[in-house]
Amino acid sequence: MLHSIQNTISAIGNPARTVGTAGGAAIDMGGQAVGDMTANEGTLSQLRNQNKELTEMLTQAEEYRLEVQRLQDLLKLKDTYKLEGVSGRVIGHSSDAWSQTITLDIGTSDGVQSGLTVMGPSGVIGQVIRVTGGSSTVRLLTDPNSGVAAMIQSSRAEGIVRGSLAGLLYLENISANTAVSVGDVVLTSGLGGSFTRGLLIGTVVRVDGQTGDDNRTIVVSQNETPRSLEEVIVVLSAATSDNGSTQ
Amino acid sequence: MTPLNGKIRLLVGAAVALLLQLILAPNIHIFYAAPNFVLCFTIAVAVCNPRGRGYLMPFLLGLMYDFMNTGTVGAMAFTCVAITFISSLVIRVFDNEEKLLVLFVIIISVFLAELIYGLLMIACGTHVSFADALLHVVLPCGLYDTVLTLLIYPLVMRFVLKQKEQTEMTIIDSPLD
Repeated sequence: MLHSIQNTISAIGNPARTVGTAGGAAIDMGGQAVGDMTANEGTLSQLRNQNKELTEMLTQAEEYRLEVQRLQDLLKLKDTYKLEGVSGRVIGHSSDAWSQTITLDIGTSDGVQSGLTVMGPSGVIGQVIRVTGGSSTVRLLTDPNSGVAAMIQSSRAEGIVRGSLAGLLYLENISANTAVSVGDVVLTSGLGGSFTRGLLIGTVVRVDGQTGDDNRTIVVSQNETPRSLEEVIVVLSAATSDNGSTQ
Repeated sequence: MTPLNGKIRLLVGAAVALLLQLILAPNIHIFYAAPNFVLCFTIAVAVCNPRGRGYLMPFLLGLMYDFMNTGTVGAMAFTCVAITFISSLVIRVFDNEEKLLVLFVIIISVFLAELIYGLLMIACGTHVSFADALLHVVLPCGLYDTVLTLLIYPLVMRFVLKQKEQTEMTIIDSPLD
């Protein structure tokens, strides 16, 4: 009973409190306006500098926020696939038109070795091809010299995903009798041991030709846009489930 | 300009080209086209100084380019030497350094160099067809590099080979050869 009365009175008093708060704010603003009008050049200059500093701090804080978000995505990926890996920052891109590579700021001192799989937040992006003490070069899947043993998740049909100069991925060596349709998920098959098995590569976005046609062209859209990545994971090991996929 | 001065200018120019290739080139791709400052500088020097016959600098520049990238080691080195020989030979044969001929030689040299490099890459196992290479790399990169070489050419003429006649002597007698 007492609580009800208390709540009712409190509810009635809330608009008044709001008006009071607004009034207080108006008074504060008025005071501030008077202060601003009477401010001298020195104060204004100081405020401008302060404003500049605050803008810089805000920009930096936003950068940190975005970085934390990206790193959280990578951590989520590590949990999803039960990966053991080391994360690195992208510090460079290839400078010629014939290759598509990125350079990472991690090397042998961080446990990175040539041949290891590299992942972005939502899929495989390439393989380490060159390592030094503090840096490593990753050949992206889209590089024309890249070739990944892959399989279609639904049919388990195996083939090879190759890069091209145009930056597209082609799924080749798939049996002509295997039905492939747009939307099929493509994973690494682990065949040959060069890439960790069961990691997501992308989805089929175009199939030129019919089932039974030996010259079918299957285009795969990569799950990642490596060019825009800032942090990646070099996979040191992955837990593999009984059916072969890393889930 | 003393011979030593000429050599230093040439070395500084080569170093700048390498730095631009390392730092600037990855960030100024236009669709499929990537700039090749090393090739542009090599061609500009060869055209500016056709009687120089200095092949060590193009070779070393090309080799550095090969080491910086993941392509076949030696391919760009060979291309730079070959294109230096061809472009300087054409200007020497015509015995004419008129602007129109220089322009013509630069355009042909750049596209030829891109073609030579492309053929070498395919021959060395890059998994692309000749038509793809022509369409996606040779032509767009050739166009990009032609524009860059035409921009670099007056700079090389003005700052690297400051006094042409003396520099010719420098490069002919250069211990770099």
